[in-house]
Amino acid sequence: MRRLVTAIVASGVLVGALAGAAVAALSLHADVRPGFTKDDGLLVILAIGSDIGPPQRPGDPLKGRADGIHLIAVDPEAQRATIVNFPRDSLVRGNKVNAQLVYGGPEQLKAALEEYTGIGIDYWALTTFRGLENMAEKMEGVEVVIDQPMHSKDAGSHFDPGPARLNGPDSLAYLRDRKSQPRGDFDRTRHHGDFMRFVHAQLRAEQSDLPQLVRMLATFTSNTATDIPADQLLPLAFLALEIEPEDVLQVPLSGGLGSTSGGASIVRLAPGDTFEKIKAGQVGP
Amino acid sequence: MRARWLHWVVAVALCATATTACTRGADEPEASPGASATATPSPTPTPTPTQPPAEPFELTQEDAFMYSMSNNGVFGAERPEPDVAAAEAAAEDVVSLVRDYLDAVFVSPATRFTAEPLDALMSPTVLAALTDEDREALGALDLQVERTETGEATAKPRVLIDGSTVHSVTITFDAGLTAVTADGETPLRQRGTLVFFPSDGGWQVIGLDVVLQTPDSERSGEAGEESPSPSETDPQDSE
Repeated sequence: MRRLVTAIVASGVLVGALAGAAVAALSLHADVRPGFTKDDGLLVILAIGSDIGPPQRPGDPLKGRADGIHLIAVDPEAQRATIVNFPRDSLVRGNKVNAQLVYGGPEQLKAALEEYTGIGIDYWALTTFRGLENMAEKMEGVEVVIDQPMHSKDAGSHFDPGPARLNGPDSLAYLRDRKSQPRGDFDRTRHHGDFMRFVHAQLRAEQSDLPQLVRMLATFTSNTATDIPADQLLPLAFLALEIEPEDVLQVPLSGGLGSTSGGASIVRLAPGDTFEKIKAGQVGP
Repeated sequence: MRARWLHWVVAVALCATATTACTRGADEPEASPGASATATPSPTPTPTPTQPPAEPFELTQEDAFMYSMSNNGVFGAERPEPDVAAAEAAAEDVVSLVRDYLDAVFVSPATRFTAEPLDALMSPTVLAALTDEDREALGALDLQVERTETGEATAKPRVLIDGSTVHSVTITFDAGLTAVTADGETPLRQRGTLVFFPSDGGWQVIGLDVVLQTPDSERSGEAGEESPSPSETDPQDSE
């Protein structure tokens, strides 16, 4: 629940003013934004980036490969969150995790991750290359901090370390670049999580007033597919903006490299106690 | 709130009717003897100061802005285009509710400067969350005033719509008024944003950001401050 009450002068003074006393500056402020509430603990959302979608790659985005896979676990009461970034090659159910989307859409990917992590997932949301570009454009660019040189012809990245404000295409290039990164897809996956935190911080700073928030909500819904009920979107947005950026923990998963019998590269994840903590309701730093 | 306002008008009308009926009854021949025997002459009416009738707000609705929630631009799925008529109808409905709220909380003698008008306007969750300070900012100042003079009032609706389904209407409003007491006049201005969701065939506020202030206290950057938004001219919002 967000509450910003500014009473520059208490109403008792206003009564006095109305009774003929000298009128000083009076200002009473009500700001009430009921956030998302959940009876049974954490709220967990699966964020998916599909590699299919018009116009870059025509086809059904819900049946593409999931090149971005992230679990966002939120404690609505404590207003803390953990973002777990999964490398796309992670071995789950005997196959690469990103293939679960191809075989059965978001529901199958969700089921596979629930089985693998033991964490119940409430909702999923999926976007595409174009959807991501649109959202970044609507934000008039996303302020990021480039942590290492990124120069990939394939991805279109051309970034030197330091702060930058990325437009739509540059945001996509930032999120796609793995070939110029020392740790390849591990770095790319970590950048996905970084990007989500940058967006969150920027939305808090720039889009917190209600008309802007409603506009951003429309931008989100028009550039994603999701099973989040429409009447929960605004309360979720309120909740997201309640959470301080420093109360968000990012866990980029890593592990040992290997290959399947068919020769495809895989990652045998070493998640440590990440999933156990979330199951126990421990999220945030 | 309009209903409450009407109740007050109706109550006055009923009182007037009742008074007329009583007067007629005294003159009518079929009145009961007992009643005639005990009747006493009516005292001469004492002149009472007349007050000008309360003027409701003339809330000017600015053009409604429509935000489409449809993702067909990205996913290529066949989904209906936004129903402009449904968006405009929802905008008008909600602006009407805001007008009723302003009249009830600032103008109507029965409810002005009380928290009563908030009950029908807010969702149960918001009502439960309101503090005394919030209620005061919303107009529940518990003041006794002689009358309220309404000033300029505007409302800008923003409609979130997917096909023909309206998911929310956000109203940014600005209303000026003058509270008149026996000792003087105080200009006030209420402005801010109310977010309405559909509820049981009507609409309820599920979020708000409202300021009540005297004009000389206005500062830039407070609630309800309208800033030009790129969305207002960006055709991508209708995708």
